[in-house]
Order: sequence, then structure tokens, then C-alpha cells
Amino acid sequence: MWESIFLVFALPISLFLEGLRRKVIARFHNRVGPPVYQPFLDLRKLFGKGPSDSRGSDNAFFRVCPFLYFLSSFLLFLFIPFQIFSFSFDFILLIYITILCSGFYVLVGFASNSPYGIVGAMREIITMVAYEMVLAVSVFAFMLASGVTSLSAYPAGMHFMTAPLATIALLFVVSIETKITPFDSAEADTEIMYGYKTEFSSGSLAWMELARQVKSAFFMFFLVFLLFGPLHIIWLSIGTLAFVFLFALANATTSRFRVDQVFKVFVPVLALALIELLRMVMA
Amino acid sequence: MHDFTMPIGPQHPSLKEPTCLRLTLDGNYIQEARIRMGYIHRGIEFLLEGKSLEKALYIVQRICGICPTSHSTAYLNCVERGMGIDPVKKVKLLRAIELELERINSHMLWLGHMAKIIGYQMLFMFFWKERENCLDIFEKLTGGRIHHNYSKLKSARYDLPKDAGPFMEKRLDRVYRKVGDYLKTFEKDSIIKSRLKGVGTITREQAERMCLVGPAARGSGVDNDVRGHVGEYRQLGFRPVLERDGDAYARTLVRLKEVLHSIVMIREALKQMPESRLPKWGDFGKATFESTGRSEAPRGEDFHFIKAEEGIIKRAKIRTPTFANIISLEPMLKGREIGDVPVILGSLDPCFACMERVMLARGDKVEDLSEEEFNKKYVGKHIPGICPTH
Repeated sequence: MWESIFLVFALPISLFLEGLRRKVIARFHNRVGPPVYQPFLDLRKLFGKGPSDSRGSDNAFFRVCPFLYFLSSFLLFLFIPFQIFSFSFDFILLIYITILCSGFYVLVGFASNSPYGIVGAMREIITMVAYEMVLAVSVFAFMLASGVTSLSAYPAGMHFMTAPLATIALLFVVSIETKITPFDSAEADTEIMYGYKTEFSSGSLAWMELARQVKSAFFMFFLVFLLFGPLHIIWLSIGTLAFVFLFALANATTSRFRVDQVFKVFVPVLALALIELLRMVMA
Repeated sequence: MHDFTMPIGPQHPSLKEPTCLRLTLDGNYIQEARIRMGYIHRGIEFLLEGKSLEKALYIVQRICGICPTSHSTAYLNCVERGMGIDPVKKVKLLRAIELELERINSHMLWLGHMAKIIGYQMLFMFFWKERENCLDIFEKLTGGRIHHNYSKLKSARYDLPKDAGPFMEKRLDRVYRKVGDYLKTFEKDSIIKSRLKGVGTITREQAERMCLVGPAARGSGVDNDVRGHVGEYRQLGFRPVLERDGDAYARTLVRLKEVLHSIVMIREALKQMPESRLPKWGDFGKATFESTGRSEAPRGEDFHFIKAEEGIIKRAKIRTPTFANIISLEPMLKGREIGDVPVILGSLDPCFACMERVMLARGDKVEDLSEEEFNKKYVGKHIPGICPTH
């Protein structure tokens, strides 16, 4: 079970990828940008601070949900890039856990009892309806294309060529899961002050930041895994860094959709994924 | 979905200055919007009263951090008109160059801000980077990057430096090229268009009825540019930049095209600049007059009224463009999505610090006073509960 060792390094790797992403975006902006280890410093600062929460948000969900959001995000690493748990149809559990992550995200927003948090959570619910379905359909299409029922049996190969429409759909889903422009309306800073995390401070905020970074890193590994299958660790690293660069580019060069526009964009994306699934079923 | 109230401001990432919008929401849509101001009131008109005309020139330039020359030009237009002074062509051209540079500076700042509002961080950085060229030119011409103190009665503080022509040409060429590229981005980028088109629409009739000014009016096809009535600008080839759609996108295009047009006019002004020396600064003396002056600030018409006796200001009234435009905000917001609020508010380019002129009434008591009675009763006195200004 040497794969379990990855769990120890999952957090530093996630933080490093976030630092790298910030640096790349800064270079696109013509800025120097923060050092790559900045996310580590941010976390140290946040965990070192005392809480300053408003009385309006004094409830159990407010205290517990940030940690549960982090925990559910971290659980995703049990499946990808190395299969620490493996059984038949384990990818369905993976899909469930991604939905659980989004569920905690929404709960965090509502628990904050702030108009900004509530609006952010409402936006997330609206978009969740679209993108979680696309994620599920795309993953099913990839599994059907490869003819296996378990992630541990998923073969290496150019899967993006066998399921090109699902690949496109998946790229859209990953952009919205990692909350980058143009699909970050649930966290729009200039509209709703980052939505769900407006009311949080210190440790709670740190858990949420950590959850976001873990989730972003996971989806980079997830893309490499689904499009190319299990790879040697060097190719896995190169592929992950390439996707970090690609999504940083997308983040830097686009503006933000409104929430209703996000939904409209995802209707044809869902159609693409469904066509791919049908194609695989017919084949 | 239940209704609830959401505040935007007084501190909010999409606001450059503090104000408060209280939005009553039905789900994600705005049922009612109420704007509340007064967070950054400075009593600028009261500050001017009792000051000499010379001192007031420095105060009016500090009304706004982004358009000091517009205020000083409107003020000097007012004073020179009152004193019967007509500056020479060179002075008028120097003022025109300053005003157009200020317009470029302000529009570039605004365009970056608008890009930030819709989440386009890269464009925000690029606009502000190119804006530095403008500040460099200000520094070269006046010695100051933000506050210039360039205007003087009948004259200007400095003549153009000898190497100003090539220096300005090089930087303006770069800004022209880059802004041209960004204009293409705004015209082609479908996401930008989807965020701005059809948002905050004001028809031509509404714009005329609400007396809007500046790019907010010109975006709806209303030509009310003060520069059109100034002789020097006609010689520089001025033409108003107009768009017809009246939405946030049209207002953005107006500003982008105005930047390009201003650069063309500055080049023309440099060509037409007479070789003669600058006249000596005029003396305000103990002038007595009552006069008005206007200038076209980047946000629209800037209006100054001054009543002076023996060289001392007795009454000053300043109407900044935001005061004229802010009236259109509430009808534009009604029925829109929350995501459109920063876009609509931003598209007016409000400058609250310049516009806030507040007088509080205690309770329901309304007094009908003549100017003399008002001065006798209130001016120069601190009355609890009443802001000591006009």
C-alpha cells in the first residue's frame, strides 16, 4: 500500500500547485506575483489568528461545516491519482463525494447567515444542478469507453481521443469545480464579496481555503487520470502542471459569466456529454 | 425564495468610494434599490466661502483626485469670464492638452476598474499599466503625477518643456496602439459583451429627461459635450463620440473611443502650439463679480458658480457630473440580477467625494429662506444636527 504515502504529501502538493497557479497568473498579468510558498504562509497566518465571528452566524453548522468541507475534499484523494480504495463501481462513490463537497460548500454559505453567503450558496445550487450531472455523465462515458468498472482497472491510453465530447464537457466541469473565471459567479468578489466565505475568519477560513486548494489539485490529477489513464509519476506530474498552466491561462484571459449565463452555457455542455454517453452505450 | 435586503457598501470591493445601496431582493433579482450617500461629505463649498480667489484655485483642484484640471479650468473659466479676461491661444491649447490627458487618465482608470468588475483581471492590469504613460506625461509637463496645480489666471504655471513633443508622442503612440487593441478585445470578446450588452439601458428620451451628462449621455446618443461649444476644440478637430444603444457596453465603447480621439486632439494641439512665450500670471486682485464657468470633465459637464466681492468668495456652487448622473441609478437597477449591480453602478463612473453636497433638515421642519436670511442664520455657524454647508 505504498500509494497511501501520497496522502501524506497531498496537502503540501495542493498548496504548491496553488502557489504555482498564482505565480503563473501573476506573470500573465505582468506582475511579479507572490512567492510559490505563499499559500503555506497564508495558512500559517490564518491558523495563528483568533476568531472574529459575528453573533448572527453563531450556530453549529457555522463551526463544523468548514472542516467537513475540507474533509470531504480530502477524501477525493482516496481514489485519484492512486487508488487507495478500490472496488467495483468505485467511480460512483467518487461522484457522490464530489457532490458531497458541493453540498458542504452550500451549507457553509447558508450557515454564515450573511446575505453574501446566502446569495453565493444560491448561485452554487443553481450551477450544481447543471455541472454535477455533466460530471457524472462524462465519467460514465469514460468508464464505458474503457470497458472497466473500477478505477484501479482503468487502462492507460489516449482516452481523450476515444471520448472527445466527454473530454470537452469535463474541461468545462473542472473549470467550474475549481471556481475559476468565467464560471466563478458563486465566489464573485466584486459582486458578493466571495460569497460563502465572507463571514469566516481564522481557522474556519483556513479550512475552507485548504479545501478549495485540495479540490483544485484533485481535479488536475483527475483530468490527467481520466484523459490519459494511470501514468508514471513523472508523466503524471508533467500532465498536472500542464493543466495548472492551462486553467491559469483560462482564468487570466476571461471575464466572469453571470449565474444565469453559466446555466445556459452548461445546457449544451450537458448535451455533449449525453451524446457521448449514448454513443458509448450504442457501441 | 424569500425576500431579503442586501447592502452593497459602504465598504465593498466593487466600489471605489463609499456609498450604500440597499437592495431588496426577490431571489437573485432586485425588487427595489435605494441609494444612501453622505459617507464622504467634505463641505467643499463651505470651505471655499470666505477664501480669496487665489486660494480657492488650489482648493477646487482638490475636489477630485482624478480630474483636478477640469475643476481648475471650470473655475478659471468662471473667474476669467467674471473679470472679463480672455486668455491667449497658447494658454487655451495648454489647458486643452491637460484636460485631454486627464480624460485619457480617468478613462483608462475606469476601463481597468470595469474590467475588474466583470472579473477580467488581466485587462485591468493592462489598462492600469498603460495609464502610467499618461502619468509620466503629467510629471513631465507639470511636475506632478496626480495633482498638477498647472492652471493659473490668464496663463499656466509652466511652458511646455523643450523635449515635451517627442516625449509625449512616444508615450501617446503606445497608448493609442494598446487601447486600439483593447477596443478590439471589447468588440470581439463574447463574454464581455454578454456581461455588458443590454445591462443598465437608458434610452435617448430618458437620458434627455434625466439631464444626464458625459459618457452616460453620449452612450445613449445625446450630444451634450461642452467641448463642442469651445472654439479651440473645433480647431483641434473635435467631434463628439456617440453610441446609440444606451447600455453599459455603449458607455464603455464611448470611453474607449474617447481615449483614442483625445490622443488625436493632443497631437493636433502640439502641432498648433504657438512658439510665443507664456504671458505672466494674472492677479486676482479685489475683483467683484458673479459668474459661471463650465468644462467637460472625463465624467461629464463640470459646472462652477462663483459670487465674489472684493476678491473674496461669498458663495460657491459646484455641480459635478456624478450629481447629474446618479439620478438614473435606481430605475436602471430595478429588476436586474445582483451580478449586474456593480456593472450598472460602475458604468456611470460615479465620483462620490466630488458630488456630495448634503444639507440635513431636522425633523420635518422646512424653512423657506432668501439667500441673505440663509447666510445670516446658518453660514459660518455650527448648528448641531445640521451640516454646516450647502
